[in-house]
Amino acid sequence: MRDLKTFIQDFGWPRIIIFLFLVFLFIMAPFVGVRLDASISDVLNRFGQYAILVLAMVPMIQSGCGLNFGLALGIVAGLLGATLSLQFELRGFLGFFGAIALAAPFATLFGWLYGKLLNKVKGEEMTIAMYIGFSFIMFMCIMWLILPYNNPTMIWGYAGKGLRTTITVEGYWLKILNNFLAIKIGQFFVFPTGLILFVAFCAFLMWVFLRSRTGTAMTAVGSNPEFARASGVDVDRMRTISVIISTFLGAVGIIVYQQSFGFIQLYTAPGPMVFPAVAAILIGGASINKASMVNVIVGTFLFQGLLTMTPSVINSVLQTDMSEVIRIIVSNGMILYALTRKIKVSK
Amino acid sequence: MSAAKARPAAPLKTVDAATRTRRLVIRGVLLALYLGLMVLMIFTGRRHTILIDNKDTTDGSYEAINGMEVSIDRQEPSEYWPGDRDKAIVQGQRHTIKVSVFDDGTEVAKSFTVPLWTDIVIISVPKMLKGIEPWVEPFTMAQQIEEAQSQPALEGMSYQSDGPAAPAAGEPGAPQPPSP
Amino acid sequence: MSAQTIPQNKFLKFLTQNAVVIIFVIITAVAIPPSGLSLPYILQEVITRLGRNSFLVLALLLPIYAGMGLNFGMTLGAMAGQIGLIFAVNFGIANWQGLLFALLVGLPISVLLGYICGLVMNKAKGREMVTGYILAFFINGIYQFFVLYMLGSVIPIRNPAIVLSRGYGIRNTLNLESVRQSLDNILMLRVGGFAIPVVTFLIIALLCVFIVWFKKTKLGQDMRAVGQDMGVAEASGIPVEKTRIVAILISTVLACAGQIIFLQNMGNLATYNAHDQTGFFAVAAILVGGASVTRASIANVFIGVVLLHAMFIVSPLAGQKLFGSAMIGEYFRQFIGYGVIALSLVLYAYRTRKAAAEARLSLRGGTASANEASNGGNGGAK
Repeated sequence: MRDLKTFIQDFGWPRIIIFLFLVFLFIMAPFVGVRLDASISDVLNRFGQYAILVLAMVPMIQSGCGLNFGLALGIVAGLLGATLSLQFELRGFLGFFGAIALAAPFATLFGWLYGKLLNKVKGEEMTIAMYIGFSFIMFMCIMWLILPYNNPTMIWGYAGKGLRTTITVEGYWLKILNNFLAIKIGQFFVFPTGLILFVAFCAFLMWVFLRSRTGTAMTAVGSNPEFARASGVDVDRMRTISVIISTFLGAVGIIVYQQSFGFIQLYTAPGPMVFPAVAAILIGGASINKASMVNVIVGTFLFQGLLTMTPSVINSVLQTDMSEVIRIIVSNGMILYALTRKIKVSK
Repeated sequence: MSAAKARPAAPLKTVDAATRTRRLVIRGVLLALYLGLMVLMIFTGRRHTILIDNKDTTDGSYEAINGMEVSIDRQEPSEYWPGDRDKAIVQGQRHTIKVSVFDDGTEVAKSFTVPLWTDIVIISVPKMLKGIEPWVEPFTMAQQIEEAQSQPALEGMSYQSDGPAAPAAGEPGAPQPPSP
Repeated sequence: MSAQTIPQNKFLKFLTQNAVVIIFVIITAVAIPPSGLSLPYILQEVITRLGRNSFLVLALLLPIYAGMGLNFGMTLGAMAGQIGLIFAVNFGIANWQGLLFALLVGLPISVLLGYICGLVMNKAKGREMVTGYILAFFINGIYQFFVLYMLGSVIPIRNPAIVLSRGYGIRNTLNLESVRQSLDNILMLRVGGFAIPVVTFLIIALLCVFIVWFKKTKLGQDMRAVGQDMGVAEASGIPVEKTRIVAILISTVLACAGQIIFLQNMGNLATYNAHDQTGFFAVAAILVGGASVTRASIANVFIGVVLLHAMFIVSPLAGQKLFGSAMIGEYFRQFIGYGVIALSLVLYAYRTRKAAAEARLSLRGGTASANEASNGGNGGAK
């Protein structure tokens, strides 16, 4: 009994409510004429799309930089990589990994600068990160208009310059991970093996990294910076490394998202990608200074499950589309819940 | 919350019954004033459309006036010829209508009341001059549609723009062009 | 340290303290000639926007005094004001009476929301800004739920013209024709070709007087004390949490009134996103005016509104002329808006950290010098 109580306390009521709600939705689905296999396939697919963006939250949370509201920087690096890969006409796996490779230098550069900046503003990271992200998105909006891309699939036909708002990756690396070893059962169920494997691989790398020398030092910085400094860890350096990794994962995450979604979305599109990632890891049980792989996986699954299931189930019951409102309330409510909880001081 | 507990308890003021009732009364009065002000705003601020009509009737009990000038309250007077109908927008419920007939130069001023929750009333000036009651009648949407089928519709009745059903997402990343 | 270096230091200090204002003046001044706009036109636009926006920006002051930073939660008040306006249009109440009615409807809602906001922020001390920001999104969800699903179904709406064709929920754009500029037009003074909405400015002036007076009251003094040091304030018997709630509550109520003033001038209401950018514009304005997270004055508000909006007026046209694309100007002004907020926050956070380090240095004396040297080395590398 007491175990259950402490478990509930640790896990937090909002998460339990969301979990039960999701279970309820899955149970309800067949009764309102929603195909369960198609829904599960959908949830898995969206889980894969978003998981790496959520994973990108982990390093910065661990190193005490808080929730990465500036993930947009990483996403923009990913967009640069993806557009460059299309510009160079890279196709197939070469295109996909080429995009990641091309994004890497940008991600490292942005992350490095961003990390340096965040080191100067300790304690105010989250608000500042948010506005750095926004202003950078707007800056890149100007850049997308004037950078000298010239692949005709990417630029506005009539003007002859300036990138389109959405660029299809069809013919380049559309669903390259999704279709890799994909298992098709029946008409509606597809298991995106490649996608899930890639996510698992990234999560495993992160797991290993957090247990490495650098990783443990980073965690130490996050849980007790004074102690870490006393034991000879360069706090600022650890924080910068965490920001670079986070930014890089943001870049990888958006490329993985694009190959599954089918389009590269430019201009103001990176903005709305950030909040769901933050909300997902918090739903998964992370706090603003502690996160694990379990949090990532559980959180992404719960949040994306909720986003997939509410429109289909609720809409067929109520005949109206309430999913947007539910999404706003749940995701922001979750972030709010995490922000208002007292930060647990770990050993 | 813990901070609130840590604070030394504020010295409890002993409130006797008299002050308590007085406080209650004051609060009640304030609340009543607040609600009263809201009601006052509804009464003084409600907008009504007055249609001014100068038409014959089929049964011949009254005839359109052959040229007149009509003004509501202190608004600009306008000319009406047989078959004319125009509108005036007013605020509040009590209003006066002033009519001066061109033919014989008679001037009539009458006051009337628009029911609070009626959006549109129609005043038939010939009826009013002949003294046929009621010359002020509420005018409903249904009537309007009915009449619109027989004659060109009154412009300016539906002014709300239509829009798509779904609202925009509440996310910050897609900033609207700043409302200047 | 001779006499020569001191004025130079002063000049540098002035530059760093007013960096944001100076950058803004330069950008705007540079953008005016290519925009091709005449000075009288720009001036008239600035006057209009001063009347439209100042009240909202003034709503930010009290939470800054109380040490709660920039109140991004002011959007809550804006939503309350919009609900008031929806009801005023619904009941067909026109003119200034409609505005007052909207205020009377919005007031209790904004008091409630402000109270909630205060409670939430008390649970997130030190993270008020980001919390307020997210809270605004959260309440936005509830607002949408209320306006899109409750109005017209649970709460009857008598004016069919404002309801969506499906029978419930309010339309995306609400025409505020019945109350349009009714506050501005009560007394519109025309001086030398400029139209000045006297009553609007009078109300703004009254609010300024109120803020100056409020700062001198016991509560205002308490607020300053809480803003300076919560611990000290607590120890000296000031009810910290209550004072903070009051600061946010007043700010939210003012934002409600401010949004009504803003919208009566605009003349129509984008029901579902008029409030999205309220906090952003107000915060950007006060920061452009030279305020920081802990320090702001009434002067900052007016300087900020004038500068920010002068830039907003000229930048799209300047972008069009300079780059051949109005979109670039549009993106540019948003970039500047967000960038200014980021820059001021960074400068502020950097300064406080430096001040804290200096304080530590003076306390520790000799022992800290080694520590500081390593910090300084870090600083150089950044």
